[in-house]
Amino acid sequence: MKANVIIVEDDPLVAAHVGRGVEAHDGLSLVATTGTLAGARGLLDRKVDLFILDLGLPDGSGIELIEEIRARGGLEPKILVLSVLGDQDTVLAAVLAGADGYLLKDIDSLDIGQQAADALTGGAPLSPSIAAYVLRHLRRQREGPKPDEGEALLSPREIELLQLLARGYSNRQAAAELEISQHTIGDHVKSIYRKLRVSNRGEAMVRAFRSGLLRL
Amino acid sequence: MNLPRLTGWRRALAIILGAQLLFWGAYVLIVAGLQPAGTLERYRLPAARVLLASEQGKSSAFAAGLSGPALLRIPGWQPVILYPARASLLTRDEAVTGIGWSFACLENSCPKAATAYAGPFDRMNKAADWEKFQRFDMVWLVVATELMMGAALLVLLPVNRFSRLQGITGLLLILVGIDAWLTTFGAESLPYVWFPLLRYGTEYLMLTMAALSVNAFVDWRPREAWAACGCFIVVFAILLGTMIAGASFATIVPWLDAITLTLLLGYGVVALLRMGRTAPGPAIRVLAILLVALASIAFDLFLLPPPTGFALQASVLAPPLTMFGILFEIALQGHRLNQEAGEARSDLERQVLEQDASLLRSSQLLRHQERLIAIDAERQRLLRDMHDGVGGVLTHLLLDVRENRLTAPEIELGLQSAVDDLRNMASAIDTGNEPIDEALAMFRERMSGRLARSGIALDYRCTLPIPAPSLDVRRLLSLYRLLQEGIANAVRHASATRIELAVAPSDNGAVLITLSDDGTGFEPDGASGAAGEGRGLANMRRRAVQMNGRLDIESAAGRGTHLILAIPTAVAAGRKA
Repeated sequence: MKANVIIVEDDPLVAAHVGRGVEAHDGLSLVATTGTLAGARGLLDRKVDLFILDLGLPDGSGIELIEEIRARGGLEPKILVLSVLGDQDTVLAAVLAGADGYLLKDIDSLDIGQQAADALTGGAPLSPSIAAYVLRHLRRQREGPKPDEGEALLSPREIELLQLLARGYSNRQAAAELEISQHTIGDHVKSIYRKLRVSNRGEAMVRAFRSGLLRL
Repeated sequence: MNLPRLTGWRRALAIILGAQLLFWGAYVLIVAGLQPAGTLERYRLPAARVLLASEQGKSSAFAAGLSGPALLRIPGWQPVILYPARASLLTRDEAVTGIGWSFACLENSCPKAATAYAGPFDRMNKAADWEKFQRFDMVWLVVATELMMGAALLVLLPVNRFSRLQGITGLLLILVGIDAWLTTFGAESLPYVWFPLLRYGTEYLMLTMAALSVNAFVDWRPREAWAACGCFIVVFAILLGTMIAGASFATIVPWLDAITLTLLLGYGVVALLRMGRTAPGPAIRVLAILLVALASIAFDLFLLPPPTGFALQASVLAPPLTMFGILFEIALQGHRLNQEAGEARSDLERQVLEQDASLLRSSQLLRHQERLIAIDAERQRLLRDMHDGVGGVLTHLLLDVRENRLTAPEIELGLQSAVDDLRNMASAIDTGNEPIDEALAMFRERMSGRLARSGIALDYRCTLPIPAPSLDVRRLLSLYRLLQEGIANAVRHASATRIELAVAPSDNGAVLITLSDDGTGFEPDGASGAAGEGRGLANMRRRAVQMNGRLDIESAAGRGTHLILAIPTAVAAGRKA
C-alpha cells in the first residue's frame, strides 16, 4: 500500500524535480501536482498521506493551506514545506502552523524520496535545525512580555530533548542520553508539536508571517 | 447651585452682612430656645409682696446679679438666704411681723444690679437657671472651647509647617479661655493677695497676643511685634508698681483698659487697611468679625434694657462665635496655601513631564539614528559577505563557463557551493549570537545529506557545556565558510570517506573546533602541491584571522588532515534552554 502524496508548487521545474523524487520511492505514489492554493483546496477531499508544499504560491501563502489542512482534523496527513534556504522564519512559521518538517528545494531527488518516507514513518521527526528554531522561539518568548509562557509551554524533559536534538543528536543518541526508549522520544516530539501549535505565541507568529511582517 | 461671583465692594458688603446675619441668627436662635417667656417685672420686690401673699402653691425667692450669698427678710415669711443663680424656697411664718423688708449681701456690699424677686417656685427656678446659664455655664463653655481650640491649633502646628499665625492664634485662644475663667471664677477659686496681678496680667497678655495675632495675620513685622511686647511690659510694670504700692486696681484698670483697647483697635484698623491693599479678601473677613464684636457690644450697651437683663448678653456670645470665625479664616488660608502649593507642584510636574518628553524624543531620535547607522553597517556587511562568498563563486563560475572550461558536474559543483554559501549567510544571520553547538549542528545537517550521497560520512561531536557560548553573525559566517572550504578540500583533493567535526572547550575559555578527515593528507610546509589547495589554505587562514582565531593545520601524507581552530568566545551568560 503506497502512501498518497500531493505536491503544491508553482515553479514547474521544482515541482517536476520533487515529483521525480516521490515517484522514485517505492513507498510513495504521486496523486496530484498543483501550482495554486485554489488547486490545492480542490484536492483536500482526496485521501492524502503527505503534502509537499511551497509557501510562496501565486494566490496566497502555503501557511494558509497548512492551517486549513490541520483545521479539518480527521486523518491528519503529514506536511512537508519546500524551502530554498531552510531559514528560521520560514521553517518556524510552517512548523507552528502545523507542518512536520521541510525539504530544501535543491536536494537530490533520491533524498527527497527518503526524507518524505521518513516523515511518513515518523523516523526522523525533528531535525537539528527545527529543534534549534523551536528553542529560539521559546527563548524569545521567555524574554518577551509574558516570560512564563515559554517555560510553561514545554516540560523540562521536552526542553532537554530539544537541546539534544539541536546539538545534532540522533533519536537513538538522544534516547540513550535521556535513558528512555526511542518510542518515548517519538511521543515527546509529538507532544512538542501539539503544544507549539496550540500556543498563542505560535499563532501570533504564524499570523505575522502570513501578513508579510516576516520575510518569505 | 451656582452663585454669581461678587467682586469689589459688593463682595465686601456681602461678607460683612453675612457675618452679621450669621451672628444674630445664632443669637436669636439661642435666646428663643432658652429664654423663659415673659418678664419677671411683676415679681420684683418689694412690690411683689402683695402678689406673694395670695400665692397658693410653693413660693420661692431669687436674686439676680448676686456675687455672693444674701439674706432676704419679708414679713410673714421666714428669713431666707439667697445664693447666686439659685432659687430658694420661702416658708410662711406668721410670727415674723413688721412691714419692712430687707435684702442684704452677707460678704460684701451688694452689686448695684442685684435685684430680688419672689413668686411661684417654677417661675423663680427658671429665672435662676437662665442666669446660671448666662453667667456660669456660658463662661465654662467659652473656657472649654477656647482651651480646646487653642490646644488643637498648637498640636496641629507641625501639619502647617509651624505657621506663626497658627501658633500665636493658638496661644491667644488659650489666654482668652484662661482670662474668661479668671474673670468669672478666679476671685472665688484663688482668694490670694496677688490674684489681681495674675488676672490683669493675663488679660493684658491676651491683648498683646491679639496684637501679635493681627501682626501675623496681615504680614509679620518684627518691629510691631516688639512694640506690642514693649506695651505689655510697661502695663505689667504699672500693675506691679500699683500692687507693691498697695493701691487699688479699681482706679487704674479702667484707664489701662481704655488705653490698651484703643491701641489694639487702632493697630487693628491700621493693619487691616494696610492689608486691604494687598489682600482684600482676608482683611474684609476679619473686618466682618470685628464688626460683629462691635455690634454685639453696642447691642448690649444701648439696646438691651439693663434693669431686666434677662435677654442673653450678645457680647457673651460674641467671643466663641468670633473664634469660630477666626478658625474658619485660618482654615481658609491653609486651604489657599495648600492650593498654591498644589499648583506650584503640578506646574513643576508639568515642567518635568515636558522635559521627560523632550528627553524621550531626543533619545528616540538618537536610537533611530543609531538604528540607521546599524542598518547601514549591516547592509555594508551583507554586501561584503556577498563579495567574499557567493559573489566570488558565481563570478568564477561565469568566467569559466564562458570559456567552456567546465564540465557539467563542475558547473553543478560550483553552483552548489554558491547555494551553500547563500544558506551559510542566511543561517549566520538567523543563528548569530545563538549557541555555537546549535549553529554547527545545523551546518552539519545542511552538509551531511549531500556528503552521504557521495559516500562520505560527516560526524559531529560537541562536548561544550550547555549553554554553549555564541558567536556573532560575522564570526559565525567566517566559521561556516572556513568549514565549508575545509570540507570541499577534503572531498575534492584528499578523497576522504569520513570527516569528523568536533567542538570542545579549551582551557582558556576559547572553543576548539577540529575538522578531521581520513583522506590522503599533504605536507603543510610544501602546500604548493596544488594551486587550488594553496589558495584554499590561505582563504582559511584569512577567515580564522577575521574571527580573531588561530588555525593550526596538521597533516601528513597518508594520515589525513586536521584543521584545529581556536576561537576566543564570551560565554553567553544566563542562557538556559
